[in-house]
Amino acid sequence: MNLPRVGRLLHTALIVDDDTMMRLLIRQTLERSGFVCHEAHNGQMALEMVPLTQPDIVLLDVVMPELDGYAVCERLRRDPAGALIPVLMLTGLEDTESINRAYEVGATDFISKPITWGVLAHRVRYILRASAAFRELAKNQASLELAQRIARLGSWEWDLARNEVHWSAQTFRILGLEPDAVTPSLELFLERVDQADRGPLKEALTRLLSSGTFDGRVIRLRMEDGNLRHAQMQALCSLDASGTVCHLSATIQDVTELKEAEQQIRYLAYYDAVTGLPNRQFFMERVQQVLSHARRHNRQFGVLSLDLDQFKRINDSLGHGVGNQLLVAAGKRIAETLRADDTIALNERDANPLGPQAQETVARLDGDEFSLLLTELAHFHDAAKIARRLLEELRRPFPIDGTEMFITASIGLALYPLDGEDAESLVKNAGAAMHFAKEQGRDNYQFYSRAMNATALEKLSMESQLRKALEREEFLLHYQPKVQPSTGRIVGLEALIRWRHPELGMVAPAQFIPVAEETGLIVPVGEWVLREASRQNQKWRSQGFPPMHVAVNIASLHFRHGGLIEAVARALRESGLDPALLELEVTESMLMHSVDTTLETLFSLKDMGVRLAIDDFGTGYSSLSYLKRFPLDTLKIDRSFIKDLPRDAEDAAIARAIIAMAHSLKLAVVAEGVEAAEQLAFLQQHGCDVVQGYLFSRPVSPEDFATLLARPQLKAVV
Amino acid sequence: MLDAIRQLDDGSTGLLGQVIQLYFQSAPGLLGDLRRGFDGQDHELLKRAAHTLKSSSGNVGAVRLADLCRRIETAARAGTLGPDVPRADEVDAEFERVRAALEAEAAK
Repeated sequence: MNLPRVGRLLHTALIVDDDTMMRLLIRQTLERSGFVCHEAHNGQMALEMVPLTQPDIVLLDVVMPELDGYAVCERLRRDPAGALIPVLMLTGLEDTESINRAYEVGATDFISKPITWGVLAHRVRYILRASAAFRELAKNQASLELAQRIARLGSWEWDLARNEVHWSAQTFRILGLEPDAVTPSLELFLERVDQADRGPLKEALTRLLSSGTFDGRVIRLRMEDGNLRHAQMQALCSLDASGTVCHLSATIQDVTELKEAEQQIRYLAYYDAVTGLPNRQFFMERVQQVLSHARRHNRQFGVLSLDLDQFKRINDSLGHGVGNQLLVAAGKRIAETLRADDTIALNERDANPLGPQAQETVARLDGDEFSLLLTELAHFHDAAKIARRLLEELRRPFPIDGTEMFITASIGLALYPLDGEDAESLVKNAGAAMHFAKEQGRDNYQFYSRAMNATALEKLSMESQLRKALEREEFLLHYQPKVQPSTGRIVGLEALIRWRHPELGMVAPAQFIPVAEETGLIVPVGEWVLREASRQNQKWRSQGFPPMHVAVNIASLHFRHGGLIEAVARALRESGLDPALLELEVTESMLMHSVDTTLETLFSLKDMGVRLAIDDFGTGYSSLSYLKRFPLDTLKIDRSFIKDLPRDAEDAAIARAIIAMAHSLKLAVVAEGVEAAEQLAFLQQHGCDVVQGYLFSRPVSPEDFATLLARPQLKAVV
Repeated sequence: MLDAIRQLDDGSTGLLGQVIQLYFQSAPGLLGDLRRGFDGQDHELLKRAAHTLKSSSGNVGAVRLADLCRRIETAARAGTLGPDVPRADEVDAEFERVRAALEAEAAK
């Protein structure tokens, strides 16, 4: 390409000499050759004229008064305007010292006096040509560097014979190193490469040296500040005459921004722009991943489809701006609810093999429809629990634009493998279940599978049946006697709840107690038990039976925040029972829950005069130091230690230790679950105060219990 | 040497005449400096005067005069004006010969 020549066509020379004749002759010589000449009479003048005339060459006399030629040349080289101008120094012929000195101060060449005039012009032309070539080279190098800089392309060379490494300016820049501060080396380069890529890169370079081919790759560079940059690397090697590798050339190109753009594209492709949540594409890929994991490991998981109820109305009446804000807020709340769920969050973090991205389980599919991936479900009830929690959380007001907005959602659930074997059908079926939830009147959740719905329904109806049971007085108590082993006398009894359903008959406590606990119904149920047990015990007392304490199991929820003290006081007040004849059984874990409030509750109860027992001892913390702090009367050894007595040496040792320990704390010891004579013998031998179990009697109705009481002594029924 | 200058002269500038005229203007002063330098043993003055006269004499082709000046310059730079160093009288005499020759040349 021919670029237009910028600047003058004629070359300009600056002649510096204090000798008028010399200036005259030089000027005459050069002008004849087409130069434009300027003259300076002394050194100072020369320095002033260089920036003004911008000469292509300076002819400089050495011997001048004040500022001599050496000083002028030296100063010229320090000045950017004069650094690159060729300087031809005029020296004496035989004066080698001054010639050396001329080169030292930066002269381009010298010509000795007396000057052969016919030659001078040729010398000057030659110098100009050489300088132009130099400048061209420098310019090419500069433009190459500029091009490399624009392309963020650095090059480096490795001379294997000399083991010398050279980096281009851009390579230094890409590596974040100062050319003055470090010596380029292969080691230094590798040090910059992120640890994860270093090993493979070393291998690739070794392969290059042996096979001559290099797999171009993107390597990550770890910068001083810890940031990662991405660089595309290419390399090739040259062979010497003998065919051995002598030289390695490589390029590295900073592609960080490219990578970031890629990520941006990925983000746009995989995330919803409004809420920042994963979009359908991402969600389907995630479902696919989780699906294959679940297939391999035989796991179940769920897809939850959530649609905001009547969202369209909000959008239509308040505009898309408000609608979008609500979508963002709802998406955030859904994600938070999911995160707050212990089981899901823990599993996501610890057990999910898909990495941190696997936590992204909330997606916005389109419009007001969200989808959630519920992984590692232990039971489908877990999915129902999350659905309930989501409905509850979404009912809370959303502060949007200074007002509070209310919205509900309809949820559909599809479970793998029950409701679908592939991603599409799972998502589709969750959507279908969601629409079914809409049909059911919104603000509810539905499983895709009707059987699931039935079970969930069963639970729901269990809840309402339990409420009715209280009103209809369907609960009743059975009692199991507690016997003094030495005498066979009944010294106490434990009250155990039973539910006689009008249609289902007797319902097992294991079936309804968990539902009662989950729904909070355990508190009114517990209150009823306290009243009824107190009433019955007082009735027997008034019938003339010997005094015995009736034990009632206290539920954790009731103990912690259910108004237990009031309930006990009411039961005692209404029945007129001596408080000492009422025993409350609490478990270890209840005591450990919140020690300060626990102590307060226990002492309040103790002040009322009731007895306190610790139930199921040995299964929890079994901390002696804690036990000492509580005002307890009785310790019940858990049935698991009794079961294999006296054969199991370990259980025997534990039982013995618990009895001894309890006695040292002045606690009465009760062994429950006693079913065999050997067990009774062992316990009696080791001083157990009271025993309870089928060996004497199973829990019986109050009527049957009265019969037992009538006997002078309870014999073991072996 | 003068032929070289004459070749430089394209005829319009009268270069040769100018050069000779410049020479005649500067030489008497320089000769005076040389004499004062010898009289006062001023090596610095001798060195400078000899250098300049050497240079301009060379340009006009006064080879012997230039050589005399070179020897004085070298001795003055070394600081030893030995018996073999040409003196002012010798330089003056040579200059007179050069003047005659140049005047003849200029008249051509």
